[in-house]
Amino acid sequence: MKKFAGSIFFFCIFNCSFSQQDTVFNKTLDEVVITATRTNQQLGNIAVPATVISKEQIVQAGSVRLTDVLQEQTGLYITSGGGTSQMGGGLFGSGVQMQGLSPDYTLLLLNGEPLIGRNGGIIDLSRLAVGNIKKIEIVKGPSSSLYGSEAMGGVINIITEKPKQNTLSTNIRYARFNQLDANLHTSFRKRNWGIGFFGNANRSDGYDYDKNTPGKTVDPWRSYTTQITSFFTPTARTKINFTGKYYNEIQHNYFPVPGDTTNIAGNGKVKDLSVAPLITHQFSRNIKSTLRLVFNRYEFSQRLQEENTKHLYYADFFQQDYYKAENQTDFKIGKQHTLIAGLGFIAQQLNTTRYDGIKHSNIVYGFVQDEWKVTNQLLLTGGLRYDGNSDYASAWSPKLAAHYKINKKINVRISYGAGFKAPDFRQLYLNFTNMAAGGYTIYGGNEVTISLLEEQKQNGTITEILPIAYRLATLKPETSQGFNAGMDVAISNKINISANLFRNDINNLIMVDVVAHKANGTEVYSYFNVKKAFTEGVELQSRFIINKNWQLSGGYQFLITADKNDLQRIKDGVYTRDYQSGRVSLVAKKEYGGLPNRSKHMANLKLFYSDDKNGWSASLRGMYRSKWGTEDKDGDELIDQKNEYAKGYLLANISVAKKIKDFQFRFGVDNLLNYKDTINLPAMPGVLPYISITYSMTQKNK
Amino acid sequence: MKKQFIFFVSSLIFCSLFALTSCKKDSSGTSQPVVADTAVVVVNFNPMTPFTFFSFKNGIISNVDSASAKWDFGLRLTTFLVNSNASGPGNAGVIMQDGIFDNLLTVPTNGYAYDTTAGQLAIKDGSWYNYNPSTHSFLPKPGKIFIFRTANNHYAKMEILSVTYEPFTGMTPEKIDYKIRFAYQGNGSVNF
Repeated sequence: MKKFAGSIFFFCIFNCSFSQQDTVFNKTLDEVVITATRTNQQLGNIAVPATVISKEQIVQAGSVRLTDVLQEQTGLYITSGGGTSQMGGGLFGSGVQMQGLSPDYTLLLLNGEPLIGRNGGIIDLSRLAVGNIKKIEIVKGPSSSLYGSEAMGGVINIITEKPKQNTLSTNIRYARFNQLDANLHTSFRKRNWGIGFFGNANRSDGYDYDKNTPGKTVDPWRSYTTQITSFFTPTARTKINFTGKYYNEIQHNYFPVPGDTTNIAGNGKVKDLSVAPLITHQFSRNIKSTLRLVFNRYEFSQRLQEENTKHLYYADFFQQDYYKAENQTDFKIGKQHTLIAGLGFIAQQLNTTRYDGIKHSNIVYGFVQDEWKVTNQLLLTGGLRYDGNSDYASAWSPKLAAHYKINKKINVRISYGAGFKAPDFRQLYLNFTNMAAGGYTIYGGNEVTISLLEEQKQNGTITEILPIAYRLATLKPETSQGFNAGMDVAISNKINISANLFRNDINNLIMVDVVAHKANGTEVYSYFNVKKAFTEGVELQSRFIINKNWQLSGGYQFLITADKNDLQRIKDGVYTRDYQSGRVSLVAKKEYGGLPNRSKHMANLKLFYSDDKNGWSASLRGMYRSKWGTEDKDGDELIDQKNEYAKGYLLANISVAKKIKDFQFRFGVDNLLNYKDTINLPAMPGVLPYISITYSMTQKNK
Repeated sequence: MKKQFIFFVSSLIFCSLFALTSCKKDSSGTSQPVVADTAVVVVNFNPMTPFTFFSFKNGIISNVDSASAKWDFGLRLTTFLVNSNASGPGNAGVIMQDGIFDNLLTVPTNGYAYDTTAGQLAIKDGSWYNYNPSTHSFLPKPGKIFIFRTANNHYAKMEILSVTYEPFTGMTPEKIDYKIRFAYQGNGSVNF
């Protein structure tokens, strides 16, 4: 704690000049957001909980990867380490938890197009460099009425810079563990066209918590991003955009095998290529139409071999091709209605060693939404989307929302929305017999029928088909119903507070279950829509503009989660064993800790300083997370004992920068308090000091 | 060290029959010699190796053939045998019940399950633990009470406190330590 107090003191040595008033609050609400409604709408008119992270905030925090940015936001938690995503962990990289929903249930968009390449349910956020990000829009609550699958907890839309000026900027950051992040960003603009280029290289030596075992806790990696963005306006009414992106990552692997003398070495490689042309035409003052085309290929391959013998230990190949065509047309009807209607088609192809043969899946969808400005104070929004597809049950996703301006200082919003997540590839296509572990079999929903099992019983592979097998059916999407109610209050020109209450009821969660017993003594498994859960809580956010130079912001989320089946079990009576005394007793409802890896309390407090005159800027940010459940240790399959929790912690980050002409020099320390939890937070490497230099030059357009 | 401990535990059980008996009064008021104790039962992991045999009266029985009535249950990895029908010449049976060990004061006289065949054992594998595939741990479900009729028609109740692997270097563990808690009623009464 002493260190923390010291850093506050460090801030105070800056000579702050108190002058002119600022009303950034109103400016915030005027900010235009596209993600919430798929139309340009001011933040102050949006009926769902939405926030915008500006480029300034990203730069001021010294962030280089998306993980850095999102972990500092209210109500978001970046999962890391530990269990699988379903268990709330981050075994397959860092994902984001929103309103208490696992990373699988948050849709990530890059310039409005979904990111693909989920591994174990996770899109690893550290794949995304932030050097060319203009802003990040976050919409909380189910948004499948506009975006379809995955938008259950909410949507995060990363919007990159458009080539609006002639600019050149380059940045290099060096941090502990030999971490290097370098950016080059340039754009060129003529009257009716522009082109921009962004390149990023990122590398690290990784780090090691336990020097006694071979290999590191986090192995070295390197990654490269290139992105080209361009626009062309052939006529005043037509605009053509093109975005192309290529990401390439090499993750080293080196680890011992228990009980074996040789170590395992190899690489995992990610390649992600996307091409997205877009054309917008303004047919009349009231009709605008946009055609988007997307091609995205995500490829993951891994090859591991025994270090001494060079024998192949493990090989994996996964290639996902994603094609999308979508038209959206916006109609302005009178002064009161903005209607949008869209139609789209998505085709996907999977080529992987994990499943049998090449898999194809097609989705056809349509959506409509009307924003009805009933009065100057009241705005109603209604929307509906249909997603039909070849492989699983189709989904209807409605949305209803209202926004009411009580007066200039108070806005109230309330919304209901439905969300869904399509069964993932594994749940659909897995057809796997694990010979190494006794010969059990897992079938994806599309790979098994009752007649297949009966056939296997005839030929003697299966001895008994369980009653549940007769309930095998086409998998349904996992669905949620979300309810949000909130308000924004401007207490003065300098202080605003917003609050949001939320509740998400999640149904049809897909779980694996035994369907038959095999003659070899193992089981046959398949997937069923069985589990139910809920998350509910409240989020508070406040911003205080102290003066021209200083700004303070804070956020808090209170969260309650539960597996509804667990609640029923507790009601029926579940025994637990005290981790200290060994005494057995019935679990009381108040002892139940909810879903794993959820903290009841999360809070942040951030202080920003900037002075354009002398070129200094700085920030100090603290993020707190209370204890969270890790895993059941006494066999009752519940989080209820004290030893089933990880300790809460405070993460403090500091950054100081000085601008000299076209250069900016920055020094910062992430995790100032050097907090480590080697078991539960292996992705947190302890104190991370860094320095960076930025050069940027902008030529003003005439 | 462990072996010494087990020896110690079993001798303790043995001695306690004579000297250290913790007497409890049953509802009818007659005094019953109930032995209440904990023990660590070390069993083999490998399914091709012998079972460990346990008697509630005498603790771990070494050098015993399964065709003896000296043992009440046998254990290997997570497979339980009870000394009856397919598994041995005894009269042992078991009832699995959910509840709190201390609160179970009277056990039934009938309804015990036997090892009918080698494929249909009284204690179904997997019924009393949760297996964690990431840590490979067997977590005994709290509140699972094993009510035994012993090979010699006495009664015992048992719960499993923990299942831990002994330290190992190869691919798989060799020994598993089962920490159990039990109460043995040595005079044929059903009251504890």
